[in-house]
Amino acid sequence: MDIDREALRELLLDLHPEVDYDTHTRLIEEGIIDSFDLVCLIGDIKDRFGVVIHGEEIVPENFNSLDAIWRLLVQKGC
Amino acid sequence: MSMISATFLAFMGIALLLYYCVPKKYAWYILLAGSIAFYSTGGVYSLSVLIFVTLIHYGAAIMIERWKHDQRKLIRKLAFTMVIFLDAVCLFGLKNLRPWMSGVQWLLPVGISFYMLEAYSYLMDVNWKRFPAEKNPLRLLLFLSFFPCVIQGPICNYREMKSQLFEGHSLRWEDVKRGSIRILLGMAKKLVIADRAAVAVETLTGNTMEYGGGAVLLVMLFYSVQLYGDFTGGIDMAIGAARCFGIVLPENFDCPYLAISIKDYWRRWHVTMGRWFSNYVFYPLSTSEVMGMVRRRIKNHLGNQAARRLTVFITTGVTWLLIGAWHGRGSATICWGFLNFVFLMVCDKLETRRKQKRKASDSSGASPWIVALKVMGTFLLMSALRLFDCYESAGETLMMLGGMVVSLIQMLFGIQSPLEMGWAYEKVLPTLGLDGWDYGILGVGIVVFFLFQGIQKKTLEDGTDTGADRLWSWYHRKPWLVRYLLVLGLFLAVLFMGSYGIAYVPKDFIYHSY
Amino acid sequence: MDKKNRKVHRRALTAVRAVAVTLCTLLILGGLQRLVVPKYMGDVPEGSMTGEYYLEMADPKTAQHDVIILGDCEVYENISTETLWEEYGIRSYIRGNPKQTMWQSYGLLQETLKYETPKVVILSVFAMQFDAPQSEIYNRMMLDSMRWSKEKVETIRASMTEKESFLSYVFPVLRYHERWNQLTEEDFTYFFQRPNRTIHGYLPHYGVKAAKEWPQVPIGDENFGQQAYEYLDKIRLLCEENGITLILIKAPSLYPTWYEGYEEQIEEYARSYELSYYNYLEMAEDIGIDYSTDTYDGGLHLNDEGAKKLARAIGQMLMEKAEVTDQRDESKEQ
Repeated sequence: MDIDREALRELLLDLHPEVDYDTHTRLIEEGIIDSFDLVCLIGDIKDRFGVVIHGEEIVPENFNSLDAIWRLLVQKGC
Repeated sequence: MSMISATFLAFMGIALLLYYCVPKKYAWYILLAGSIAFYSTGGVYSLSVLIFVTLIHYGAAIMIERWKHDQRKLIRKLAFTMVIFLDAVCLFGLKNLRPWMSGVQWLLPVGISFYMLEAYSYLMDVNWKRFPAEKNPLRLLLFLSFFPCVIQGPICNYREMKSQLFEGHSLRWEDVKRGSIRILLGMAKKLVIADRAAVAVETLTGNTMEYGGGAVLLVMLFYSVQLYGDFTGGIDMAIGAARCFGIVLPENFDCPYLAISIKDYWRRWHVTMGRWFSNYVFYPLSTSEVMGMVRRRIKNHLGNQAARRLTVFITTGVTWLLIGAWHGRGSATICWGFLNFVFLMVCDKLETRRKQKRKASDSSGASPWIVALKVMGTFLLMSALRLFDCYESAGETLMMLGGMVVSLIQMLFGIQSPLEMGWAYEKVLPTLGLDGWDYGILGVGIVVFFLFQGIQKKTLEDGTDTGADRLWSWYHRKPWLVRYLLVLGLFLAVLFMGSYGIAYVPKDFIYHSY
Repeated sequence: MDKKNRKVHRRALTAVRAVAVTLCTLLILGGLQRLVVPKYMGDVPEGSMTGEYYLEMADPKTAQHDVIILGDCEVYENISTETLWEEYGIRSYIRGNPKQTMWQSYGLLQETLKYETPKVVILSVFAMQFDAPQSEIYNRMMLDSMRWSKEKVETIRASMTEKESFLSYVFPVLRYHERWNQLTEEDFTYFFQRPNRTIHGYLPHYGVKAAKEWPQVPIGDENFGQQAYEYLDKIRLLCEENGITLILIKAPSLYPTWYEGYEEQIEEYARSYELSYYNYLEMAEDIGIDYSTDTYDGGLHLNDEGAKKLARAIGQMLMEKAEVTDQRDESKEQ
């Protein structure tokens, strides 16, 4: 399945419009995306792409940047 | 064994000597022997419970791994659910039974609520295939019983600990030095600050009839100081002790009293507990099938936005009730958890609104005055919530808090208040069991640790180093004489101003009446 | 070569610095410890009496005693060593401390024997009633100024109450650390040296306060404990081994009560081991003690007048029974 990177960026911008997602690689560690945001994001991803993220996949490495999230989704989507 | 005793120092000395003398491969056996020896001073019963818990989780993890694709899926699931269920009962139920356990208090093993968290996380991680199940039960036993953190944390997870615990370390002077100074720092916080503030807290909460109104504010302040010294000091000692063996434990605090919101506070206070509840309650719950169903239902009825908000709401609520239950003082801590949840939600709502506003007019950077106000507000709010620790019950806490607010309002409007006495601090302070010296030491101590936090606090440019790393490198950059004086000063403060030993009161000389 | 030299040089410098810093730290800690330990030079002088003995022994003129007296305040406030010397030519020393127990007396006797061997040891039997460690504060007063020896270690172990730790005797700062904000001039004045407050172990009091009626509360069990007897035996055997005459006494203090049962047990003990036992409480009238003038605190302890009278009685007894001779001429000859 194809995951649209731009669509994912839109979801993220919806949460934090002020962040530049192309350059940021420490979203979790710096607390930009907190646990509430994460839960929202995971719900949105499920609605938008139909990809289900499980609790065990929620580790900082998977959510630290737009790229990381995209890679996770692509990996799961296949 | 208390970590503040000569016995513990001797124990550390012997353990360190053996640890660095045996071949690296076997060094972890020394840690294991030491941990068992340390823990068994809490009694044979506690030790046997610890070993039992280890064996259960060891077995369950292996079983899950082997039977993952087995036909007997149902049996596996049942057994696994049983273990998880028992864990949950232990974690969230056991301590709350205390009021009904008078006389059989010893049934509660030492540190169970901490090592059970670790055991549970180990099992879930194996279940989620984050790492393979451990083949050697002794290794798991060491992870759960590792003596620096078995009593009060930090709560570690197996992934970050296993390489460190078992690979062995060669002696690095820096590790021992850094560890010992950290222990000393912890002792200073505990003995000089916390135990002093404890005297005042005890007096204030021991007589609620007399110390109402404004005195409740004093309880908030003194208890904040006490808890900070006690808890962060204890963790400092744990981290320092582990560091002496070359093992780096996760940090548990990140300048908590400089938090600018309750959300920020919970990123900084008791970090390893927050991390555990996020990983093993909050995320699994919010991604679970049940929550998915709930979400769909809400979405159909109330729309997308509401669905998002309500899922966060429900999962956060459940998580905080469990955190309250884990703290284990029945209604008081559950009420505390619930209030934390409420304020977190309010804080989240406010932040979202502010973000939306900022989008319109982007004003970057808040003024230092606003930040200071936010820090103070957060501190006061969290101190008020902490009162649930201090008084007998949730009801009493709410009553005392209410009394404080009412009397404050009455005073502001010039109305005679029955609780006015509590605000006359010049009359209250001398009755708390502390003298001028004590208040002076407390004041200086608070300033010193406040300054330390200034050094520790992260700025955006900082890398991945922790507050403790920053404090260490600050210390390390100083000339050797300054370093020497700092450590000597800390040592003398602990030695002379620490609350330990049989109190020396010359008034006790009642010689001539004998 | 130059590089290597510099490296060696730097290493040597580090080593020297480490040694200097360690020494400096020890000096600071030692000094501060000495500073906070109570000096007992003010109102409460009874806290360094164990240590005074060493000063006495350091002076060749006073370094020898014919009689060593062991006990608590019933001896060191009630027997004038001055009178014993001036009127009988008996060189005596009281090794006494507040509430000194039998095991403490034993420890002090052992220690004394390392310095000298007296002809006679007089032991106050008052402490026989104490079978367990008594009070932390009195333990400290007795032990803190004692020199380190095997005897001190044993005495500490026998004396410690439940809450005490041995370590705090090794490092008294662990015990007295809280005194840092209560230091007085005395702590600095007597930092290096404390003068003797007693006259050969005798602490005179000069006031007068007539005796009153003291209550006589009956106690259930008047039997001495096992540990008290054990140390009494040890003292007796130690004296036998060293050819010392052991004499038991009960001083004429009116209170705490010396019960009938106590008296019987001591008499019985003295009989079975052929020891002399003198109860000066019973003989008070015979030796001329007048409780309306000879006590400074209502009969608990004697004042200097009373202590002189008791010293005369003891001197008389020693001359008659223990063949102690007048040393005054001898010392003049020397």
